[in-house]
Amino acid sequence: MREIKRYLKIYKLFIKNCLMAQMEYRINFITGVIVESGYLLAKALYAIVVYSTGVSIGGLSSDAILLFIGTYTMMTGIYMGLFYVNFQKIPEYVRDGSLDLYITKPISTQFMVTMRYFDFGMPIPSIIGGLTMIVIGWRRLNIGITPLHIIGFIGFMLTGILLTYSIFLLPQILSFWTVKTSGVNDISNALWDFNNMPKGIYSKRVQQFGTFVIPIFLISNCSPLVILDKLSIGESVWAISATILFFILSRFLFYKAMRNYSSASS
Amino acid sequence: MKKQNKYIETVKIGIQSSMAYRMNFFLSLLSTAFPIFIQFFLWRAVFEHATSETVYGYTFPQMLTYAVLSAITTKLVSTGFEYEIVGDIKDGGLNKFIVRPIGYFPYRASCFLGEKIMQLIIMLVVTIGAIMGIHYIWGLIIVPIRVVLFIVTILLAVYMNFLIFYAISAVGFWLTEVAALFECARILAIIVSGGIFPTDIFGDKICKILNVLPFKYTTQYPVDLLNNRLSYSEIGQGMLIQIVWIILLMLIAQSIWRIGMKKYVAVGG
Repeated sequence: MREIKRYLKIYKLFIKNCLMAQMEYRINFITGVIVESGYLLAKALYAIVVYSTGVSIGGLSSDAILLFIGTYTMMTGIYMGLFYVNFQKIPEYVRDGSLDLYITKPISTQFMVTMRYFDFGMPIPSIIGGLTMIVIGWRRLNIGITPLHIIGFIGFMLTGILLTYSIFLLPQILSFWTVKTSGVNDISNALWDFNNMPKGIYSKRVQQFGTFVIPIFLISNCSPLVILDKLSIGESVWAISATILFFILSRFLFYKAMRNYSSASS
Repeated sequence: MKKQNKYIETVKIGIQSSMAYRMNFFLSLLSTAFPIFIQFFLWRAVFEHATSETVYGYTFPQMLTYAVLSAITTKLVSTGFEYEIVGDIKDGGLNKFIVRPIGYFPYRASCFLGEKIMQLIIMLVVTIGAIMGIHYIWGLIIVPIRVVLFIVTILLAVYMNFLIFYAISAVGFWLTEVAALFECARILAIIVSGGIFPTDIFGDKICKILNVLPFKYTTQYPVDLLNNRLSYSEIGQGMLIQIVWIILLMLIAQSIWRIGMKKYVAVGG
């Protein structure tokens, strides 16, 4: 417990430090917002297609689909703010040997490397855009706002965040062996976009792969399914178990990678 | 060295640099396949529930062809040299072009051409494979003359996009932090050129505006041509618009660069 408190305190300091740095270089903050607004627009195109064609997927109406697009968009914002910048820097640390410095710090290297930076600008458009889509979808569906819905929605958002961390850290860990990972990066970014649509749109095999092998569908599909009362107990249990399993896997592989690390600079 | 030779050499350098990161190129090509995959399932669901045979004026095979070809075309016309240009402006890299008998615009154009040659060949093979696949599975009609016209319009589209981003790069004369601006311009250009979905999804009013802007002619126009969506008179009209925009963009880029060069301070030794 004391350890958790210590790490929370350190994380608070990281956030404070990042806020100060980003307020000093405001132009970076603004440009981050601008770029992400562009990406948000690209994601919103899917919503335009869904509404203008009136498509329904596996019994989900256009409003229900909007819930999924909204949750995915919001999750993208959270991913961008919490992890993306950190993950992108890992190959750099390995390449130029700056990881040496992080190893010497008296805290977990994985925590230091993967949580050091927090971006305030990039998540803003996606979180606002995503939240707006969720509210619109929720209201148009005429589903009551019960405490159970709210707890379920937030709960599965949290497992989604942890799962995002665990799954999308894996390609970066590869850099300990391969050094250059930009191609792998492109693929993992493309994989992320699979959640732009509810998993019900894909064929059975793709759904099974994305649920049990690389469980990306568990990241942003569970929360809207809770609201729609369509998440079974089995799926809930698997979503929580997969999150724990993949977190352990990412810890294990990071540990393995660190053992393989042999500094790059003098 | 003869005038043409130096640019041929530059084209060769471009080819070599595009071959340097082959694995990376193929992996990024693979990443292009994922959005197509998502769109395939989206359109399958849309057409399953559609009351008419066409959606936004496209039949199912045409829409699939659109999803595949727009992703390939977007990749093909994409640039990336704008960051290098801004670097040249910021760090004084332009200096050598001022004092040496080599023009910056033809140098950049040759380099770009060199980098695109291999991509063009590979993408053409992928495109032919893809449309043949759609032809056999979903019955897309392939007209050979349209394939030839597609290649011609793709070449014009690549050059158009080069000019658009060459003109945008000149912003480096006035601003130093431009990465986000370029990224934003890139995304917006992809959206309004029909790189993700056909611009028809925006409705008639916006479509009319997009019809006169250059962006649509870099992606949607060549794809629609191959997709049998355009009549031969519309193809001719589109090609004329491409040529007119190329001339206009050359003039615009030249003027912006002339003004920018007056601000250039040639830093560095």
